[in-house]
Amino acid sequence: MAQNVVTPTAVKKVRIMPPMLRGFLWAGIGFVLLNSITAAIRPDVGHPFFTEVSITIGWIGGVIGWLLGVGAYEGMILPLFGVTPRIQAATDWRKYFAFATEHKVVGLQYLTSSACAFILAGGIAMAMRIELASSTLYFFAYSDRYLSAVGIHGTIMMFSVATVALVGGLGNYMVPLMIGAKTTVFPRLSGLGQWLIPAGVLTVALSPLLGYWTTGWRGYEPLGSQDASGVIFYYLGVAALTMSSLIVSLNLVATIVFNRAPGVTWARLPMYVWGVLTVSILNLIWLPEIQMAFILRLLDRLVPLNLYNATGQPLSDLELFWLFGHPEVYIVVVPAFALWNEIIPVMAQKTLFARSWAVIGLIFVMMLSGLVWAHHMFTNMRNSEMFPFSFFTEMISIPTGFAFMAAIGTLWKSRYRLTTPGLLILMSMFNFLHGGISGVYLADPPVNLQVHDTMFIVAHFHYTIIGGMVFSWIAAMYYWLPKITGRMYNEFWGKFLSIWIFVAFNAAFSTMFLVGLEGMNRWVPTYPPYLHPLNLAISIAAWTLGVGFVLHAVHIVWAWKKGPKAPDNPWGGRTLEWQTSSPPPDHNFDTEPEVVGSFYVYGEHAEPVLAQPVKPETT
Amino acid sequence: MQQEVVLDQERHMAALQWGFRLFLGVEVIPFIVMFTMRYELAAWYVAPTVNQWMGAAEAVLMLISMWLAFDGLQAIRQDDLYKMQHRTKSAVGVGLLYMALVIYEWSQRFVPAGTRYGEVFYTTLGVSAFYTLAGLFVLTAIAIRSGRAHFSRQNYWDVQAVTWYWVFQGIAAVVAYMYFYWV
Amino acid sequence: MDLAIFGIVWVIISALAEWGLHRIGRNTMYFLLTNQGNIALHAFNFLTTMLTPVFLFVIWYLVWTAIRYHAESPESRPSRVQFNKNGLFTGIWITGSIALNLLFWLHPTAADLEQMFAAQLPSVNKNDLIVDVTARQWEWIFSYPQYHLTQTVTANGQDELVIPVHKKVEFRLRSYDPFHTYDVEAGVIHSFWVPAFGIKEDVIPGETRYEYIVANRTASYQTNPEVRVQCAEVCGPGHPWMESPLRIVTASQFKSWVAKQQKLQAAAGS
Repeated sequence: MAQNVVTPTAVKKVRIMPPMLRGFLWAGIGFVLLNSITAAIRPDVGHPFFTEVSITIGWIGGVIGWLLGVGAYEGMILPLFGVTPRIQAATDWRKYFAFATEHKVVGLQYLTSSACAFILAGGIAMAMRIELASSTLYFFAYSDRYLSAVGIHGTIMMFSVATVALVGGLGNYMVPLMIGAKTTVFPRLSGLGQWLIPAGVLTVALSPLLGYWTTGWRGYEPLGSQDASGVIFYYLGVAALTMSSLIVSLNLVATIVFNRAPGVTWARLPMYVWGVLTVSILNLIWLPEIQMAFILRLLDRLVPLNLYNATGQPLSDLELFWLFGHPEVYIVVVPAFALWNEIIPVMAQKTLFARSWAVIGLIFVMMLSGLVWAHHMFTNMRNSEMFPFSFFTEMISIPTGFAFMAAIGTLWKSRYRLTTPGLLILMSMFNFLHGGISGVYLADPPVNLQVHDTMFIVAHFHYTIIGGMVFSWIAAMYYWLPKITGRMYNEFWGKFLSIWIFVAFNAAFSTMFLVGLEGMNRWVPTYPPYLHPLNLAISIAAWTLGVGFVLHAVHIVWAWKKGPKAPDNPWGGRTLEWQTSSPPPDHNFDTEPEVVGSFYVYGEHAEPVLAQPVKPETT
Repeated sequence: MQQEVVLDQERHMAALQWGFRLFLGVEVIPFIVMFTMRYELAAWYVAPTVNQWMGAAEAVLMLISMWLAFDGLQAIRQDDLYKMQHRTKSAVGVGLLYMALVIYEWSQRFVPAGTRYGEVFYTTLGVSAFYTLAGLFVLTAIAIRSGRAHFSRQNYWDVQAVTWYWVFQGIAAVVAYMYFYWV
Repeated sequence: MDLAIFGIVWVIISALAEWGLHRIGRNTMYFLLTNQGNIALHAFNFLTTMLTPVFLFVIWYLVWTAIRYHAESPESRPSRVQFNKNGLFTGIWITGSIALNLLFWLHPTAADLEQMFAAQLPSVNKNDLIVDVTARQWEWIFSYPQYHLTQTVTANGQDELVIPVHKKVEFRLRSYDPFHTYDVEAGVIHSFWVPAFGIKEDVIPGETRYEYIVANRTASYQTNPEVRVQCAEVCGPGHPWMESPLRIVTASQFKSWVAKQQKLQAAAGS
């Protein structure tokens, strides 16, 4: 909204303290201020200074203080009131540590936040696997600590990694480049969304300060409302993280609809952009729903209400959660499907097979995902209700299969370059297949009633999320690394580490299927001794996997800093982001690109993509 | 070249408007959740103790405030900055009156809070009041800004966005009124 | 040529895998001893039989790609063969996946739900042994109203579930806390699961739910650790220990066990 402000000329610029430091300071001030006000106006005397209500309201003050402190004060609030900020915006590395509106900066900030959250929540998973290496409680002092760890791991992974990395991260960075845009439509929304991620992650990670909560990432009522106070920070953290994804999705949808360069028609829209578009629409539909559901949970606890206890309807809470919860898993994995068919044609230098079916698959997955939620609740249903949900659940594997069909057709008789991203994409397909096939079993109610809430389910969704999404994410990081940094990774180490995580991942989670079938339930730090040998094997493999992920991160950071210089278009990609220099200039393209050819046609029928080049001839 | 810049700006404006409408469309969803919960927990029951006069007065105030804000938008479309400022400030005033009435009504506990109906009554209307507060904040911001930011026929997107938001939350409040006082 | 080699290998490995599956047949879900468990087991095995070729098709294709289609050099060169559609392949894939999913919906899903539904009709459950199962935080309490047993326990005081073999048992599941000091309705969601039964049902505050099973052989926690009552839904810090031993005994053993429990209860004065 700032573009309308009339600026007085030659204002004196002032410097402020580092924005993140100021963010922490203002967050502290905001928290104490609102907490004190709440404590002061509470009618009953003699209550403690910190109560659940005052902490909740104080937290809102803290987050607002944090957002304003990192730069939203100058970036959004002052312009809203018609004041021109007088601070010097950083142009060097410091810009990555402050509120930013440039989509490439925001994308990198998002990726960094997500990667840090991934390492943090992954570390918590390592602690869980240490505990599960033995059948008795020995690592955690008591099971509530363990269950808090489970909940924090799941919440952070879901809401700040799986939902975020491929949308807020690579989506913010790549989508404008891929559609030939200079910027996004609502750059401030993305900028603000990024800074909600650290706020949300820290809130969830620090929740044990208020008490160990035991519900896991789903926070079922009525357990949530009688749990320790830490569950409040879970509700609030999720509110911040979902808000982040919601406003980023709004920005990306508007950008894809309005900021496409001439010639980037819907029929030519890159696969990954289709993936981000469908996911963003899912986010827009379901995130407000889950936010309201979480607010109801919070009110149910704070007021307190009787919405979800024995006199209310506990099932309403489950329904509200899974109405969002199932679309969520497609929010996670649809961009990964899109990435397969984005990267495979480039690595094979071969025309994308059945492109329209691949797009139809993404769209139908998006639509069907809202019709299957209750299959998470077969243990709460009558047979007549299981029947339709079982139907839709089985049917959703059909459009999912289209992603495989397009990839298989593209690979047939190709000359496939097994580079690190190429290899990781094949691995991602391999892993997701396990998740998908086990999903067919779960769609069948009798089988589901046996394996529901066991480690079989845990293995199933880790296969789809780590195996499908995280492997694709790492593939995309290697694929676009030369684009983002202008540098190349080391091919040997890239492949070696990919094989490492592939072997470790499959060892850990295929064994977990067996443990589930043998009767091991979820959310337990202890288990009957007969399950010990397999659990020990899983723990060892899981630790190997964790080390592998960290080494990948180290390798990528190394390549970023010290890797050999890469050419502008090392893979021979035809999509628009490869048509500009690497790393891209500030405004992405020197002249506005005009697209005249398809992005995914190779061989003798391949026409030039652009009417005229968009970068200087010299590079 | 000049032509192109104008086109670019028009397209940018269209994107902003479309995106904002999408946002408002998305913000309908929390109300759908709340209305569903009301039906789930209390069906169509309306507590006999609910104060129909207060509810009707609030709804009328909200309608007046919406009309004032909308008239302000029409005024700036006619380049009448003074009228627009006046209307916006009046809309804020009536909105504050609405909030005062809501707070008074709540403080009197016409609807007992511990009942099924009472729970959904206070949660839903509380959510609605939260949207009203956010609307009052941006409406106030625009009223203050209008002195500095030289809105005109060519430059009134901010006014438009805020008015749309105010109308959106007004409709939500009125629908919530009908849903909780009538059916 | 590619098609022939790929296809032949696919058929061979699928056949080998099916043979291997047939060998482990009854043990794919490890240990199940009820009518309901058999339904799940048959569904599981049917799905495995049908899905194995599909699964191996993709896995073998990925391996095949890595072996046969990988480029010898990393330079950017278009693939020799180029095409963007193949009606036959797309047609087979799409009709095949629709047909397979419709099949799964009809069998096992529809057929099995029919069986489960029939087994739960009141008319076929007139002479069941009734067991009231109460889930509280954190304990399973079993009572047998037909025998006036309010809480059955083992010799060292642990809650114990004992049912006779070949007899239809009706579980009535409730979640509340009879020992709560002021609010017996306080409760959370639990899930009644016996791994060896192949059935699971959430136990919800404010609702009564029913499960019906017939156990078809005797067993106990000592003979197989899957014979245990386990809470499967997280219900607070005590959740990991919310389990009870279970014994499935002959009719005469059951009778003597009931007598012993009645004596125990009388001695306790309850």
